[in-house]
Amino acid sequence: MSKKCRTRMVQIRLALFLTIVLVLSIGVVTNAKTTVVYWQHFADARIEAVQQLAAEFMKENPDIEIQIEGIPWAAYFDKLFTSIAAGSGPDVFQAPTGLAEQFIRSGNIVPLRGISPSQVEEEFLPWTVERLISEGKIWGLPTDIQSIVLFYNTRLFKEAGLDPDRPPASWEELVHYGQKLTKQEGGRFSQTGLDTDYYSIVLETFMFQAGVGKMYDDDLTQALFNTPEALRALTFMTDLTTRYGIEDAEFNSQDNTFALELTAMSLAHPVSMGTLRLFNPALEYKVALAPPVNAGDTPVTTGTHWQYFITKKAPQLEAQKWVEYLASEHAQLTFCQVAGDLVSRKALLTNPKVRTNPNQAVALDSLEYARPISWPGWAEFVRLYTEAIERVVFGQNTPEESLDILIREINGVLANR
Amino acid sequence: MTASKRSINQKKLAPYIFIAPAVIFFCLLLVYPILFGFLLSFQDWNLLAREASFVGLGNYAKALRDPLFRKSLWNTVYYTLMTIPPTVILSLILALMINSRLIRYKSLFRVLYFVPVVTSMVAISFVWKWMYNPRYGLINLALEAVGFTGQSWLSSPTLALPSVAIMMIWQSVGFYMVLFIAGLQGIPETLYEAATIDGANRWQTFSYITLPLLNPTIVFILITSVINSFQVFVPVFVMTSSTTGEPGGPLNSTRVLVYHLYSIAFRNLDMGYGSAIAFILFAILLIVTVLQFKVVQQKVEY
Repeated sequence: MSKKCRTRMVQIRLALFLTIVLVLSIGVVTNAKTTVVYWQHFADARIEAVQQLAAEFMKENPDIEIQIEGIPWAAYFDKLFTSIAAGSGPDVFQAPTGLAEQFIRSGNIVPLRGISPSQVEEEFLPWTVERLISEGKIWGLPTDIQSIVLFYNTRLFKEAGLDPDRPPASWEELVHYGQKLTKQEGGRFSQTGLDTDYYSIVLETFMFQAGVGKMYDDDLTQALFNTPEALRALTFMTDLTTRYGIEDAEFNSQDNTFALELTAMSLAHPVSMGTLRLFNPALEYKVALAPPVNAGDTPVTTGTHWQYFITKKAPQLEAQKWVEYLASEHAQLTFCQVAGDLVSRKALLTNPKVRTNPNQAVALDSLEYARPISWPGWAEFVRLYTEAIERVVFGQNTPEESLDILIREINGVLANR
Repeated sequence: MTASKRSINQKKLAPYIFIAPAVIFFCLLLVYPILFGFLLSFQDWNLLAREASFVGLGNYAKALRDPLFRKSLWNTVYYTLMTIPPTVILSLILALMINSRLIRYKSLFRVLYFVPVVTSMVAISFVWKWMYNPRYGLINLALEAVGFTGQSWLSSPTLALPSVAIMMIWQSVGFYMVLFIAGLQGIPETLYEAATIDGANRWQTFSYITLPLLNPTIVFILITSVINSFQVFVPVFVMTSSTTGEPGGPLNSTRVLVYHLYSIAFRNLDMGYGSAIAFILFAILLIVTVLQFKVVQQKVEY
């Protein structure tokens, strides 16, 4: 064989080899799936719903792999913040309302593409997307919608001679009912009328009901609620313990006294229905709207939600597809049926499938009266509000002093941002 | 280079190669984070923000102005004062009893007292949280059985921190007991024999022989227990957490320094200030340890 012929043979073999490699590579590339890593804090029912949705989503989108990581609540924020700061976190994750602005300003998340804020406002309850719109862009979609509603024990109502079909309709009635439902034995509580758990979001609900308007300035640098209305709310909430004696710091602590039938009424999130189902399935209770200041006033409650965000490092198209799927009508219906969540899509509010349970229907109705939680932050606001209540309940300060301290401390937090 | 020289060089190099993995891990996982944390303490850096700015000693000055820092520091000191004396005294008494010739089944007692030390702190905290439950807790049931009134252990601002301290005394007493036993067994028997011949009674033997010769053990125990007390975190985090509020309550009565640091850094995302608190804690522990060495350590020779 001549040298030229040998060279030609080598060239042909090389070309064949490269062609095979190329064909194989294309095969590998076309079979490769894009993985979307999704994080949420662990809750049995919600994880079950997400796993079900992910399986359906991957069936519809065989080129996308959803990797779900359910992280225990206590460790969720530690892992989320540190991994995002290190650029190694999830592609899609859940975060609470209060952190919306911080995430949007941080540059760690990206807005949704091809969706306009007006379109979202049209499809979702406006308050559930209000804090997700910035610079004319929509930065996430809502999930895990909650409000504050009144749970009341119908058996204890009957026992106290109250009509179980007529929940308290005003603050005054709440106190009156609470006093009828409170029992003491040997100078100690054996049953309390109400449990607010000194919950920060219940205080915010009382503030909204008392007529507090704008809570923070537009730049989120100053709290604006050093007002008589806010003082009235804090006074009322703490009076429930110190003046009316229908709630008790020590009796109501640690246990879920409402589930144990040791407390007749409770102001809490609708998600508590799941907890009650778990702890005391035989409990006879109803859910009502949180009573306004005066009978006949338009009800007001605090709306909270979490939202799905997409990180900068995520495969954008696939991640957005997954987020849109998670916030779709089908997904919200699944969350509602599997995990007992409330819905944020307007079209679903009247859907009979989500209103099969009368208590769930009341919780859904409450969403129409909700104002989104005002905090431009998370943990520090929970602590500051709780301390404002505890300072009065434990006799350290008057409501006036405690509100002043709260405003001063919040302004300190905002100034340090 | 001759073969013999090469062999000598290789021999010199060998130990460094053997310790290299440990040194590398030590530097990467300990030295680097400490230095990074120290640099962070001079910066204003929100964990979510991309940029940090240099603020000099601003974060340290902030700690001095922060009432919650002062409250956390006081809570930590109070907790330390509540836990150390009973822990040291109880563990010494237990060690003396177990070391005594009169006690049988010594190994069994040693194991029983040591079990809490090797049990997960999280599990212990959960169990004690249930024991402290005002309605169904074992402690209130026991108190009420003997005619006392049950207490709201973890929901009272005055009782919450002592409740955590009681649990920690119970948990750590076994560890210090083992250290005391080791110290006691290191005291030569001949000294006790000589004392007996000289007519010393039990108290004289204890105060003139046992206690002085236990001094190195006591110094070690005091230093490690003070450091452990200043670093308390898990029981506070587990026992005082609630579904609707932050741990450290009620009314910040159980907010200790390490929880405050954690909360500032990983909840409020203020990493610079969180790091500054960590180095203030380090400085406090350094000063306390040096003082303990100076005050408690004695040279005892017989």
